Amino acid sequence: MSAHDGLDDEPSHEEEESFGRPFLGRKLGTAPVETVEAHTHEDDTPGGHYRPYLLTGGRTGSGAAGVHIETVLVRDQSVIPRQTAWSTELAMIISACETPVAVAEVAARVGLPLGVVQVLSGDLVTAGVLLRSASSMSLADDVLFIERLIHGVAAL
Amino acid sequence: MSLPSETMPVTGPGRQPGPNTRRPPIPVKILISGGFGVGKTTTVGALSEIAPLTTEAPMTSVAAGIDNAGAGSQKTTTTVAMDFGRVTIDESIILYMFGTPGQDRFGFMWNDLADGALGGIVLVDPSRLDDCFVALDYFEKIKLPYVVAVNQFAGRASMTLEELRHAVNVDPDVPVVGIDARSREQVKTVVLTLLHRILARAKARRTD
Repeated sequence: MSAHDGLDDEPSHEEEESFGRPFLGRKLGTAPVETVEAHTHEDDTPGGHYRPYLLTGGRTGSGAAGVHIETVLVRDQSVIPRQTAWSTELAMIISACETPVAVAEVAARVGLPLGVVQVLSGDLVTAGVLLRSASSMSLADDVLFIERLIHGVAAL
Repeated sequence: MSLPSETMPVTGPGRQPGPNTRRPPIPVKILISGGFGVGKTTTVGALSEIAPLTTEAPMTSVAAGIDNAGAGSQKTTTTVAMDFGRVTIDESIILYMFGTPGQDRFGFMWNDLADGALGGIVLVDPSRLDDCFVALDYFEKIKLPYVVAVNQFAGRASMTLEELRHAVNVDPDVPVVGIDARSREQVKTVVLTLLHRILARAKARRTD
């Protein structure tokens, strides 16, 4: 699902009317990071929000950064993020990625829906804070890779 | 060393990883599927190096009996709890096992989940055979390599594996094996059976 369709071109008055429509909102990638905080609530109980997709500006799915359920993320150690710039949710996602973990695992550990974490971690990949694994899509036909996998599982 | 700037250190999407970082390990995804209570989470937990975790995954459900996905079909998107586990293979490969929910009244389409999956294991409870048909149909439809694993087969062997194969009506080359989902060794063997099947297909495609 593309996150870009039509959202950029929306007139601003549309956003002001978006209270009852959680899937409306703007795209984080092109906005200053302060915008992220504007979407979050005062309380910081993740998963307790009535509309968790407010956190993503209404975006769902893997988006442009190609973050899928199994995509492995790790924090780029060469980047020193300015912690105060992050919303609670983004900070929790970053800290969950100190060692390589799949997006599904990040979602389970921070207590946010998978779809929300896919979008937010995609933003962090685009921002260069998180590194993303290469896709495993093409590996089904890679004989050497599958042989290596078989060897690895047999040795468990 | 310069301090981070006042704003978020935004860099372009084409940015290269820093010199001290490596690309994260490649994830390998396999799906563990079957009806409610058939032992998906037990199977995941038997091999996983972490206690199985749960996440809420978006799924498309299709009302039973309607297989036309065109306009007007009764498709709705819902959120389903999904258990999964992790096995580190080596420094560059991590295996993730996702337990995919499947009910008999509704067919769930696990498009996001199946996208990029290497293969699937369909768990079967011999006393509730028809619970596995949703998974079988889906894996066949998307041409995902799979094996059929009959859980707790030894405990209630009212049917032979051959009878079960006949009952679930899978292709002769699809492995049908009996397992105890609590046994790490047996789950490992089923995963290896699946991987050998994936390997055979990859080799066949290479020589095509």
